Formats: sequence, structure tokens, C-alpha cells
Amino acid sequence: MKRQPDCTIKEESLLLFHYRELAPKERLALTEHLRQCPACRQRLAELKNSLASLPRPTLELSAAEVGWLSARIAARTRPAPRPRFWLWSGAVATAALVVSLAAWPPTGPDSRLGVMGRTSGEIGMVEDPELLQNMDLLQNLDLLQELKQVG
Amino acid sequence: MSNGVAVIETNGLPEEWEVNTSAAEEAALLERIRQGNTAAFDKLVRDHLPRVVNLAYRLLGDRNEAEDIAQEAFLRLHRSLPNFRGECLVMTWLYRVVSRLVVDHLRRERLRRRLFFFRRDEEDPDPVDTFADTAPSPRDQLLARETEKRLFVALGKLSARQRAVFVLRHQEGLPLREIGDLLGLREGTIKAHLHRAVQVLRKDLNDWQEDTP
Ligand SMILES: [Zn+2]
Repeated sequence: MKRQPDCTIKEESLLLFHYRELAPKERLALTEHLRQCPACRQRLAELKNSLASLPRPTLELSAAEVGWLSARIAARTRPAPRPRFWLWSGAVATAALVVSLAAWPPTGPDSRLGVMGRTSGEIGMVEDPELLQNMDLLQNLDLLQELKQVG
Repeated sequence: MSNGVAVIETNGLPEEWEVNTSAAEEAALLERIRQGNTAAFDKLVRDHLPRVVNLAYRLLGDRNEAEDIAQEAFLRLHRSLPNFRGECLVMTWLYRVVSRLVVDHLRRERLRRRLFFFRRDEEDPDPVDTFADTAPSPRDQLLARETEKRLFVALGKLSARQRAVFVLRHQEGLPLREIGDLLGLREGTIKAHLHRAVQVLRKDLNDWQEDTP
């Protein structure tokens, strides 16, 4: 297919034309160009063809599945059950013990309190889901999965 | 925009996404939820759940992961309800949260895969096999299923953002400007992502069609 000698139309312009995402002025200019350039008309037709051939995956959710999922969501909006609290307080206690043993000998009663305060503070932070979302490290991913199982 | 809530023109949403409740009805429902009416929250979830799961499924290509993301989105909605104002529809808000959760999820998955790539190379079969059939399909739907699986494999070759931009523009019909708002990206970046995504998908699916007798 012959392309106009001065044809400088980029593929991205044709794509944006297809999705109606060109500014009105550019759209008008390209429409005019397409009238004169059979090669671009062909390019646009091929682009439209291949985009039209892409499927749109769809899941059919049965009433039972919707019911089951919404029940799960409802259950998770209720206040956290006790076992979760015991697990976390266990984790705080263990972490505090490990950290305070590592910091032995203590320089005074205040320093140990400081360690305790910091440890429970960190765990409190990790419980914040917004923070969890933003952490990319793998160890945090695993922690997230644990949280999910517990909660 | 305030309280991290997306303000998106509702006429940008595909028709099928419009829930059969008016803005006034939705506001009344939200008010009942704020007063502690759990049945009202349940109705809100049921009304939006199929659409949210489908959005996540198109973005992710995995049903279980899509259901997890959908659950997380509704939990966040529940937590955000005290600050939720009538500036946007619940569905618009869910679009934003699901898109961002999926992009984060895909990025973490990619990192995980990169770290364990040795093991994956040895163990992994054709990635197409890893997509479970979503339902028993009649024979005439098998080809459609296969094309769908191929699409997900091809989408897996894109970056998380390229993938999200393509799905939101091509499959969900959102204007690029709104996708930019949703993902916090500039319009130029969004256009480049869309172009790259379409290049990769066309090449991949062309190669596959040529190889298929
Ligand atoms: Zn031309």
C-alpha cells in the first residue's frame, strides 16, 4: 500500500485516534490525512481488527458465590476476635524478651521500658493495613499472609 | 479531591457498571451503614461485588486473587465510610482502590518471581497451564477460553501499570484522563503505557495465531 511521501503519522497517533483520545485539532488533521493516505487507512484498519479480536474476560458469579463472599467480607468488618490479640501480645512479649536479652546488661530500668515501648509500637505500625500495602519487601508479604490467616 | 477519594465524572463509567441505584439512594444507604446498619453494608457489597471481582479478574487474570483483592477493597471501603462524602459514587471509589491494589500486587509478585527465578525456570510448565478454567465450558467455548488464557499470558509480559492502563482503557472503556487520576499518572505517561501495551499484545497474539493451525 502506497504511503503519502510526506506521511509522518506515528502508530501512537493512530491508536489514540482509534480510542478517540486525540485533541479535536489533531483529530481533524488526522482525519484529513487518512482521506489521502491509503497506507494509514490500512494501518488503522489492521489496528482496529486486532484490538477487536481481543477477548473481554468475564466471570459469572452465582448467587451462592456472591453470598459466600459478602458473608466473608461482613465477618472481616467485625472487631478482631480474641485469638488474634493473644497471638499479637505473644509476639510482643517474645520480641521484647529477645531484644531485652540482646541489650543485656541493662543500663537501668528506663532503658528496658524504652525497648518494650518501641517494640510494641513497631508491631502496632505493622498492623496498619495502609502501611502494609506500601511495603514491598518479601518478608512483609509473608507477614501480610500471616495476618490474613489470623484475621 | 479530598480524603483520598477519587472524583471522577460518572459519565466515564461504562454503562454496565452503573448500579441500579440513584446517587440519592446510595447516599441514604451510606447513611444507614454509618449508623451501624450491617444489612445496609451487606446490600452495598452484594450490589457491587460482581463488578468489582470482574474488574480485578481482568486486571489480574486469576480468580482467587481477584476475589482476595475485591474483599480487601470492600474492607477499605468499610473503614473509609466515616469520611466518605457524596463527591463520587461508591463504584468510582472502588475502581480507584482496586486498580491501585492490583498494581501493588503485581509489582510485589514480579519482585517475588525475580528473586526466585531459578526455581521457577526449573519447575514451571507452560504459563498457560497455570490458568485454571473458570467453569466447565461447552465445546464451542473452548477456543474463546484459550484466547482468553493467551490474553492473560500476553498481559503478563507488561509492566503492572501498562497492564492496568490497557485494561482500564480497552476493556473498561475509561477515558485516559480519568485513568491518569485513578493511578496518579500524567497523561503523557498513560499514553505511552497504552501504546506499549498494545504493541506487545498485538505482536504476541499475532505470533500465536500464526502458530495455531
Ligand atoms: Zn499516512
